Amino acid sequence: MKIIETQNLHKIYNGSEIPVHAVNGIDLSIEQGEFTAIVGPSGSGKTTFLNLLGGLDKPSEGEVIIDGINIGELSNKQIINFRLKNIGFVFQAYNLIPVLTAKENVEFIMQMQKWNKKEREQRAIEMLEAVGLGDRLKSRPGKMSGGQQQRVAVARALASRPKFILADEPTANLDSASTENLLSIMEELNRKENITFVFSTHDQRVVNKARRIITIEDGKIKEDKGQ
Amino acid sequence: MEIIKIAWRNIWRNPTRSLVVIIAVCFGMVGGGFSTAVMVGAVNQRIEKAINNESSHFQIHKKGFLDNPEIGNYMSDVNAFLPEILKKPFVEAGSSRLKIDCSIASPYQNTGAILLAINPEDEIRVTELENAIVEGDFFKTDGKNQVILSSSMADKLKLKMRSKPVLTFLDVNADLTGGAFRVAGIYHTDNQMFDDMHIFVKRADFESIAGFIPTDAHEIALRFTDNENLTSRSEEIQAILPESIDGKNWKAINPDLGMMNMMTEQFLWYLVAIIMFALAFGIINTMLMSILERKKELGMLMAVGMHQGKIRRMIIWETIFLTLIGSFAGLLINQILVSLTAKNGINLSAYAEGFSSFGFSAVLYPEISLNFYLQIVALVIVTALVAAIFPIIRAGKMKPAEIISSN
Repeated sequence: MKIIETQNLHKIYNGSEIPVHAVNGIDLSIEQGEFTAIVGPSGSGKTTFLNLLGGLDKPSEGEVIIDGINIGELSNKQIINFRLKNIGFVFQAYNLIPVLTAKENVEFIMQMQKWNKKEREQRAIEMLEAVGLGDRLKSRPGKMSGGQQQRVAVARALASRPKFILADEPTANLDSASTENLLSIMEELNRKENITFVFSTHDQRVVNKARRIITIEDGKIKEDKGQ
Repeated sequence: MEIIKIAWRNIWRNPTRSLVVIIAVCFGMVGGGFSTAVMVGAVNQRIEKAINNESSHFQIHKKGFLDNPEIGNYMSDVNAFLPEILKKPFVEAGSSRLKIDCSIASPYQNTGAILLAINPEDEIRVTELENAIVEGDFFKTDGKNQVILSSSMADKLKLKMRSKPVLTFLDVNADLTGGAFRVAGIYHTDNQMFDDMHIFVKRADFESIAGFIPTDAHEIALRFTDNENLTSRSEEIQAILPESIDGKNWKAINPDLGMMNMMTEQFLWYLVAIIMFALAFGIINTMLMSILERKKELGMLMAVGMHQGKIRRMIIWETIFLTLIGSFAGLLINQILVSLTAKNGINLSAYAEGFSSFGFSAVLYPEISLNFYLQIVALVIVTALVAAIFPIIRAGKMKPAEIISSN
């Protein structure tokens, strides 16, 4: 079942004197449950592509269809709601809310989705246990290592059962042990909960774990291995 | 609820910075609040003194007397309406006075004055002049032709207790008459102008010299149980009075006092508004710094699906918390200062002469109403909302895509 589909996707930035064609006609489809890495050199357009998939940016041309919905046709308000309900984000810099505890951070998106308190607390604990942080429920991000914070970010992204997870360089700030640990957790959650993962990464360790590797160069797909 | 919790915790991320704003707001509140309390206290004291010593709550005259206070412009049968007025539950007491211009002469000097011929028993129930006596008493000792005058007039005429100045005035037929009166008391109020002009004699003495009878009066002063419902009470009394008689409450008799009251209120609002306006810049600065520091976090919130409206609410709550904490602390300190100084007053005796020339006491008793506090809290919230506008606009310009790109 196709979860993500792009058709003739273009993104052109007109900010400087010469327009930059960051994404240049990408046609792609990703099935439910895939564990996909998008790789490519810096400036190849992978982050822009991820932004377009996540509805954080609007394409200059072409379509992004998520679970059958063309997100380009949604209003700003609808796209925000769409992101809230369907997409989980994991960022390179974790971006947890520093004034909330690990558990409160994981609960946050569920709370915005208006889950009832008991259910969201239960789910937050379950997810933090799944990422090996069952003993750090009350810790604030500032008291945790980078690896632990990224695991909380993964738990937060997964807790509300989104249709897929977009992770932009999730291991860029982590050491080898933390990277290995995080990838194992994500792989396991991918298998257990059949959640689709799409990474943009430079990290060979992530590439090695991915079951599908899409290489982007100059805004185009250069190679698509493991489809 | 979560937004409020995050907003509350956000303001404590950088406690030093938040405390600087909170302390600034606190001092602003103490400055504005205490100035207000002192000024309100001073004006209220002035009004209270004016009511207690000078005008009372309500005065009745023959129409035209206030514009033309001639000896013949008097009410001739006050018993036709006064008993009915005194029955009103809000009327505590009334004093029927004869009031004329006179000349008072000592062996050294003479001067003009306003002579008030009063029944001491009635007068002490209407005014508090008895409490202003600094030498002698308020007609408590028997004796004919006694006069009470102010210490400033006594000094001017070089009169002492038991001196015998000569009072000259017109009688009921507008013929010049007068007599020697003995100084039985010397008073001193905080109103220099009042002191310089007014002398008091007993009605009985004056009636016998000037040819008036007890039911004649130039002025009837009424004391109410309190200062409430002045307008409706005035109308109620006016309805009893014959057409040729006119009644006025203290605000109408002393329009300057009513005006002073209103102007003070307005001035104080301007003062507090200016303080809040200045503080708003500090709040805006702090909030903008806070927003820029959290740029990534706000971008993340937008990315994961938080609407701009919620982000705006979070910023507004943060601003409100900052200002309210400072305000409550400031108002609390203010209340403590007011409580401490309201008991014994702030003694500004060094400037007594200046205060007295404007009718103010040199000992000020600050006071502040609950209503003022409520209005201040409302103003603080408005200031917080206004101060939140710029940070909200700044946050609104952030694009969630930037958060990923900036990684």
